[in-house]
Amino acid sequence: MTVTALLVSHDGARWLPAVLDGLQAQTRPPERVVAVDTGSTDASVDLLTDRLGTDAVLRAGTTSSYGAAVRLGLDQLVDGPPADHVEWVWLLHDDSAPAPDALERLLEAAAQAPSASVLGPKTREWPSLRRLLELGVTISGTGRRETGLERGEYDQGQHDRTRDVLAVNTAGMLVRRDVFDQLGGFDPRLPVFGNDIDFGWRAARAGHRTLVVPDAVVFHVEAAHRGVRRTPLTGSHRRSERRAALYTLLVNGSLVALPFHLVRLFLGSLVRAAGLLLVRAPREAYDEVVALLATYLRPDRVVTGRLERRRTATVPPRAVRHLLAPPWLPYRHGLDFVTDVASAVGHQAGELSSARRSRRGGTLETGPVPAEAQNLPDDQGLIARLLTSPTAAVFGLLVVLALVGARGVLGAGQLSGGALLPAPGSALAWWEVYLESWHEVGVGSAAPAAPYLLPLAVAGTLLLAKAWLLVDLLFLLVVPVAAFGGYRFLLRVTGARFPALWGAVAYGLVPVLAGSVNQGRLGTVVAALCLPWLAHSALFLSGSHPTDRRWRAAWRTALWLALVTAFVPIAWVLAAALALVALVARPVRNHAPTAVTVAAVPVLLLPWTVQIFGRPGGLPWLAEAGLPAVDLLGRIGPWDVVLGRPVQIGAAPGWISAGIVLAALAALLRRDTRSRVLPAWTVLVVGLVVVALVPETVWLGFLLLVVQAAGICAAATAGSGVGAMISGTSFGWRQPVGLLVVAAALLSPVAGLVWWAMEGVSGPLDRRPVQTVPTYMAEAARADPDHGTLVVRGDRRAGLEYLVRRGDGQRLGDDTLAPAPEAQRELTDLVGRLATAAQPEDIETLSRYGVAYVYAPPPADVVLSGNLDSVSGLAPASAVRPGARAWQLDAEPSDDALPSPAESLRPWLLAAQLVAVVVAAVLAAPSRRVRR
Amino acid sequence: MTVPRSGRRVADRTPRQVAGGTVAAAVLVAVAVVAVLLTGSAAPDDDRSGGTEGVLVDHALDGCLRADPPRGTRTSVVTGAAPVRGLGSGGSIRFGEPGELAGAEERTPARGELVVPDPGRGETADVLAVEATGELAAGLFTFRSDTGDGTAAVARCDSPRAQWWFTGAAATLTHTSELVVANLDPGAAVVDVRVLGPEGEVETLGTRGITVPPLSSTVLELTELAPQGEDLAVNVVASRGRVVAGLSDSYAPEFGSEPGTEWLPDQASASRVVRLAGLPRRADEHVLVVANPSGREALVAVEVSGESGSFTPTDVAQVRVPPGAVVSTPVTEAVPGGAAAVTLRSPVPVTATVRSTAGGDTSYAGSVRALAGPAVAAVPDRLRSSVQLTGGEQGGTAGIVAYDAAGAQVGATTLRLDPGATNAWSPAGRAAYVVVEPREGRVHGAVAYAGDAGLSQVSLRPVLVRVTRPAVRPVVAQSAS
Repeated sequence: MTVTALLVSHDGARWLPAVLDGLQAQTRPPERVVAVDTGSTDASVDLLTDRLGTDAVLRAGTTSSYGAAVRLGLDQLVDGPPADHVEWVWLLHDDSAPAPDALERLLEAAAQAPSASVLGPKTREWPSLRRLLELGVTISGTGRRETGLERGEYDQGQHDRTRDVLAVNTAGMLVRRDVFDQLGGFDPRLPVFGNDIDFGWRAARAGHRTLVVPDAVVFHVEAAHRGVRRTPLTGSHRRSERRAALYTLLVNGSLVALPFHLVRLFLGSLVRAAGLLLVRAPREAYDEVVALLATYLRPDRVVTGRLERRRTATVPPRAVRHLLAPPWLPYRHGLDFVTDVASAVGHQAGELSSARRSRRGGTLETGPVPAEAQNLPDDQGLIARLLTSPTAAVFGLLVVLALVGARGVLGAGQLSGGALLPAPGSALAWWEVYLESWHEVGVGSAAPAAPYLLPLAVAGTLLLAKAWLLVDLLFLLVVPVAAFGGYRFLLRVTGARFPALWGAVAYGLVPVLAGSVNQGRLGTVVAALCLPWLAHSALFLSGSHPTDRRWRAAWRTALWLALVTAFVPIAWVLAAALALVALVARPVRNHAPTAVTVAAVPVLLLPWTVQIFGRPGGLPWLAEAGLPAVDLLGRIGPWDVVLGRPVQIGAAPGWISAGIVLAALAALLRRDTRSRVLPAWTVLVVGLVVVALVPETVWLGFLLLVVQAAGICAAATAGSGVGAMISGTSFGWRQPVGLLVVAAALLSPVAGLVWWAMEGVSGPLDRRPVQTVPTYMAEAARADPDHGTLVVRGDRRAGLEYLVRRGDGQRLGDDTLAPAPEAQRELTDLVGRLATAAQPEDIETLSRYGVAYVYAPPPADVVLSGNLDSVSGLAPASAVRPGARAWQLDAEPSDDALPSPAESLRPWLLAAQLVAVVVAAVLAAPSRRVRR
Repeated sequence: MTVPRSGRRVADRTPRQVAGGTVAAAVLVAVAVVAVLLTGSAAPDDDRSGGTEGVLVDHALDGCLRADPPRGTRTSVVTGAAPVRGLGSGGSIRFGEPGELAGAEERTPARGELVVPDPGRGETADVLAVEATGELAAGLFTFRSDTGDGTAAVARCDSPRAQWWFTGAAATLTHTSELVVANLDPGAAVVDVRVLGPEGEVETLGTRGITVPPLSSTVLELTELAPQGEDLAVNVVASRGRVVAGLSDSYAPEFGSEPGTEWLPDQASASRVVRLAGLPRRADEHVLVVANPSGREALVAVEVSGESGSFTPTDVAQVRVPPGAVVSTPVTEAVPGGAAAVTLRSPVPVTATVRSTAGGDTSYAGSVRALAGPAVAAVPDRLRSSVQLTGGEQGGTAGIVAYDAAGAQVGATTLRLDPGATNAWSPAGRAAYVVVEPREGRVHGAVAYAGDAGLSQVSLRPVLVRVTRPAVRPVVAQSAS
């Protein structure tokens, strides 16, 4: 028995000394050592010739594959031993150092299992030397190299059992020379990667056994696999590995399963590529696709490979199936991946918050920590933190007050009133409304649903489709949650806890937010929740951050801005104006991230954008989520703007925010913080300018919220360290003025808290039954959509509003489906005639709009009622509520006059929106560090 | 002479930096102040449609009520479309009992030409309905007149509506009234009738929720509703449907004398300013009757507009009307001879009339409004007609044109009215109706009739050519509030 060690090297001078030392230190040294160098450009050849002698070192071309190099080395051994002599070849890489007894253990195992033709050692990571790399390998149905080990698993002997495997790594592989020759050596079509698995599979098909011998240990750098070593043959190592895996599967699998494999690998590769794109690994996705194409576009290679294997195979494919990875393994990996990502995200958040806490606590670790200290719990419990932290105490108080404030609207029924419609029975209804192109509301509408239904649908679905719960949470917890967002933002901006805490509470309790809740202004409420996070992500757009960070911030800001714009379209206008001002005032080298932030939003809100840009007039930009509820808007004066009080109904008293205004003005006086205060003031002023440009017949809540928030931000920024500043300077006018301002500013949130606790949610938002027409009408419409009810509200002086009610009636989201007024011109004229001088033929026309009832909610217009009473074709019906009037049409309603659905581009636009959102989300995610 | 460079550089830079920040802050504050002051100046953006544009009336319906006139009374109904520049004579006019209207003969008179329903139809039918369609509906007017021995009554035949007020009714031996409520529509109407008396609201039985069947009329005797009631006010409110209501009044100045009949002028609603016009030029007695439907006491200031101007009568400068009550006050002394009108001002809405008696007949001055456009009144033959117009605080001018029954112009004048003064003009004998058109200032008025038969008055009926269609807006959702 002779053993020839065959070492192939390529630019391995870094590791070769240790490898050669290991070879030299073998307790059972090989009889011969042959080294083949494939065109190294470093000192590899010199090292080899120094230690092995010139004769033992062969040189091959740079382009010769691993298999060719091995073949070259073996060809040198023509003067081999006689035929009955067993000759072993021990393959080594220039980055694999054997343990001193490696060869001895391998040969022992070979002696104990004479049927084994290929034996492999346990490979451990080099240089850590402790982590397991491989104990034999196999391949899964998707082409993944399976070792059966956890990543970075420590070797504690837990896998030390000699067993049959499909293949062993070529680093340390001991193979019988005759078997190797019989199988034709390594496949030349696999230049570097994957030839071990392919060889093992072929050996198995030829009836040979492959054993892994854990007692024999080889330390392996896996230089090519990890991309440490690049050769012309490896190219992109990921692409080569993938290509090799696909090839191996296709040429070695059974012929019967080949079509299945072809399809599965093709689709699987595309899915993998898409997944890699999702985790921001576009290069890997590219490699995946290129490898797939390179394999599938060369069927001749597969055919040739299969023919060759057919010649050497002696056992059927099923005989080696037990050596392959089980079929469920890829799915298990998929599940693991998702779990890993989820836990990593959670972990990262936890790490960030504990890092913040330790920063705040000033516990900077400057040296080694004693072992005892390490054993102590390094984090306080939740309860302890809540009890000791003023921040936690403040937010705890806010949550309690939120429940106290909501006392008036607890109970049965649904939150509605003011600008808010009751939530639908299920959040799935939002999906339906958002996705469908034609809406069966009123006379039918092709109007694209407003974009805010998408986030509502997503959030509502996560709440087990309980739409009402989402609306309740948004309205009843907006104060503490908005304050929390404000706190996180201000902490980032000011770096000081107490100014941030003051600003957060002041933000949560600004009168405009209370007014928004009371008036049921969903748009402003959601915007108040998102605004701090939007501002937070926009902070990183500034030129002082690295480009990569700025780009991620740009996409993240775009997503937040799209979310806010979906609820409050004018947010986009404001953001565009701010971006313009920022670019002019602070020119930075690269404008692209800021521009992308603004430009991406219309794409992210796609189907709706087409409508809003295609429609003249500014009205769609001014409309918020929910009803306009113009009757709730009072006349707004300069002081209302200054104090952020857009309405008379439901808003907190304006003086509550007087302290904020004073503090914001005083913030400009402090010189050392002025450079940081001015941006906030710029936002404030741009907000005020937009307020001035907007007609006062629309709800100004969001704009005033931004103005107030900017004022709070300015005040909090100037307020950081104000105590030290006041006490640190010599006495002058600054001390009393500063104290006064601080006192006034502190009074604002305190007064807000007291007012809110006393007043609570006072309406018009209320919890009430949903029904707005008599039940029998709703039932009739539910049974047959053509039995709609024409609801006419208002009076002749203020104007009449009408709608055709079907099914469950109007629910949150239906307000977005208003068809263009011109599309309803005929029906509008008809209602006008009914209110002026109704004729019997008008009633007949009405019946052809799928209307069975006419209902005038209280107080019913007298003239309209008289007109409808006087016309034939209408019979008075029960109106149930006092002051209301109802009529039933004599004619059987039909849908003859209703327009029919038209072709729509909406599905395509929705698909484009989906792509845009996914791309933005991927680009906004943190960069992924590629680990192997 | 040379200053060290480094020192100068430091001294220069610091103030410039401070100045930059201060200037920026000042500019921001200034822009903020300007923006705040400009808030609300942007043009409102409203997508409501309609509202102001008037649409041409293309369908009109009038109802003439029939009471029980004394024997020998001659009733005549005239109807037509008032002359309006630019409007032709398309369409048609039909009249008849409400139920038979659909099959009635269509008349196609020229615009301005009067149509007289078949003689006798007005006497036999309970209600005579007049329906105009097409162009003739614009400016449709219908009047009825009853002239008999010693009595004359001229009344407007109005369109159905929901609310009617009549003041000055009674249920005594010498003075009785009956309420006629007609429903010209194909659906049933439901009316509530309220009666106010001198002691407050009269408790009536069965006057709430009276159903008036389609195309029919109901008569309510006030003697049954409020027996022995003097000076009553009657309010008719249709809670469902629309009705034409009329109050036929029979008044004998003395017990046993032949009563004179009159249709009480109606008032659409109680009002804080009530202008009563059409007082007869000569009368034996004028009695002001004021009803206060509100829950508060009304202190009603009285102002009389005579031919030379307006004045406050010293003896009846103010009338105190308890809540829900009707008060009558003689104002014979206060009203001068000649054309006159009375204006009442009250802090709470009231309804009122002036009952004038001359010989055996009475006349009621009805509440009128300032004319917003042309208005029309009939000039029945056998009666002397006097168009009495009163100017507002700034005075005014109005043109009056008289037409004969064929629509030909037979007289015209322009009345100049001093502030608060009442002026009168009598059309020529051939005139069948007059059209009054205000030209300057606020003008209100009525036509007073006098003749051998008796007295009467009718307020000018505005020529309704266009109606304002209410602003109608489709919405997809309505607030639950």
